[in-house]
Amino acid sequence: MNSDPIIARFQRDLTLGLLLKTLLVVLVVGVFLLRPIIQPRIEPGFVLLGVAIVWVVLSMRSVKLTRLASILPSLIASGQFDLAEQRIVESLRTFSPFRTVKLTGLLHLAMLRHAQHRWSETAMLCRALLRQKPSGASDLSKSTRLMLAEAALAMGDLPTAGESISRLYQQRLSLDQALKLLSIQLDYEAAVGDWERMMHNIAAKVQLAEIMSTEMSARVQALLALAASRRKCDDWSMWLRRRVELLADIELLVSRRPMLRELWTT
Amino acid sequence: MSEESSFPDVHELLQASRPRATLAWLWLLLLGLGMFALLGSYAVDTSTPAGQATQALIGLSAMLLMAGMLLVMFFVVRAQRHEQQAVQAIDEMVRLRRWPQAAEGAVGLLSKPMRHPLARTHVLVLLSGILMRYERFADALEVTDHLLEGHPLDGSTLHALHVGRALAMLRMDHLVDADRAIIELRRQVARAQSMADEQTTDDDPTDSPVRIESAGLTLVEMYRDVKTGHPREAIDLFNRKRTILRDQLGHRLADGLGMAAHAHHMLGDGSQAQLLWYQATLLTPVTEIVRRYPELASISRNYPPAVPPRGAA
Repeated sequence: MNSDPIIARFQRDLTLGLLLKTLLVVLVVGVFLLRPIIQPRIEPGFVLLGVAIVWVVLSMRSVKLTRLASILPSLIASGQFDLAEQRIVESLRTFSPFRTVKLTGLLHLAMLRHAQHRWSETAMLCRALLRQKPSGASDLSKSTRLMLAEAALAMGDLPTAGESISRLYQQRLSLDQALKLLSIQLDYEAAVGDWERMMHNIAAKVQLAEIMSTEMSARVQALLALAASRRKCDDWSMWLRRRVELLADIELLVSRRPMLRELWTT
Repeated sequence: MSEESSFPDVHELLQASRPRATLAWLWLLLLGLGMFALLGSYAVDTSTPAGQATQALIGLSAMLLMAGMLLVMFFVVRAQRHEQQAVQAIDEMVRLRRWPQAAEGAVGLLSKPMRHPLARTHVLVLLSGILMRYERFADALEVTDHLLEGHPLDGSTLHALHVGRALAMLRMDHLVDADRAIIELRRQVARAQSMADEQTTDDDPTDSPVRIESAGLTLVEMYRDVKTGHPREAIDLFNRKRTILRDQLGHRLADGLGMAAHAHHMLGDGSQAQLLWYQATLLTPVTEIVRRYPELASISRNYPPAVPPRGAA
């Protein structure tokens, strides 16, 4: 499924939703303001009832969509990509006037592409989301920026990755988001060779790494070991390297992060 | 709340935190009445001044009623959101191992009726872990047993609670109960395995079967073997399941390494014991390993731990 038509449809649905909501509000306000004029011909109560019914029907559809979407993160996390994609397509094709519902649908598609490592599509979808200017403090905005930073890094787009990372530091993050940001930030700093910055507050970073998932923990501590080695802090480098050897298959780790090979060849 | 300070009675917390019965249907009924009245005001004869006044009064009352209802619902939703945020904060304190703050937060929430049953379940799960940390095993068992009596729990949380329960029983030397708990854990893993096998067959019979393993069960079995003087069984289990322990537990692999070191020490294999103890203490401080498994205190006196670099916590 190509993302371009999905993004186009998403923007169209947002516009249509806004128009529909405006129309309903205009109808309600108009009924009250123009009541003396319209009452002989049209019963205002029926107009209001009609508006209420339309609103309730649209709300119920949106609740159904939200309920369907609630299992998507677990489908994606468990690798059921085909089923997740099917559900996401169904949700994005269903009209809803509610902005949050549409944004969440597109976010889930970005999450799916991110899990599939389709980085350029992930970045495109994240940019489409951020163009809608979701509230900076919202989880949607933070999740989108984290994915964009990671996708940009994977594609070698360091300026975009750096900008996303610095924007995220202005937000209050949950623990999971902070751990993810730390992992991405270290990858970014290693890519630009900022070893000194990586070593800054290393003890706190190591403590955070200890509560990450095993794979992420090993990668983060290996990057810190590399920074320590480049900065001639041999005690930190040796200690972290030995920890990584217990936590990860070194060959697999190095195949995913070739720059780490020097830790086990020098 | 310090480690030495007294913990409130767990039974009282369980009672005090029960959510009050909601009257959601009452709110919806009142909202419906308000809308009905508003629409009904159009049925009043407005040809007379009295009729007009009546219509205006009904309309105004209905709108005030609905506005009041919406305001109340707004505050209820906000209070639920605050509660959810408080629960998330406790979850993060537990993961960051900030135990006094986590304990204080959990006790604070559970000391009065909670708004949402699922939020209460989540806090109770966290409380069971906090109580284990403070070595209040009997209290931890009481909370776990309460949770296992019909509270909706997902599979992994259920399994983790059973693992914690088995560990608490072993710490209290209730070996017979611990054996029963281990059998239940094995049943859970077997059930998960058969569900996974069915899923694989349904999706694509040519796919290789998914192997379901539980690192928590492995740790519990190793601890039982170490406590009951079966070091060879513990070592064999560790060697077979080491990768699973690493992949699922991360730094808690140190628990398995520590127990394997102790098992080798029991068999007189000092060199292997030293190596494994060194590896265990690379991942976790000695004090923490010995706090979790007091049986390992003897090995901590025999073999030197890994020394972290200066500045490491």
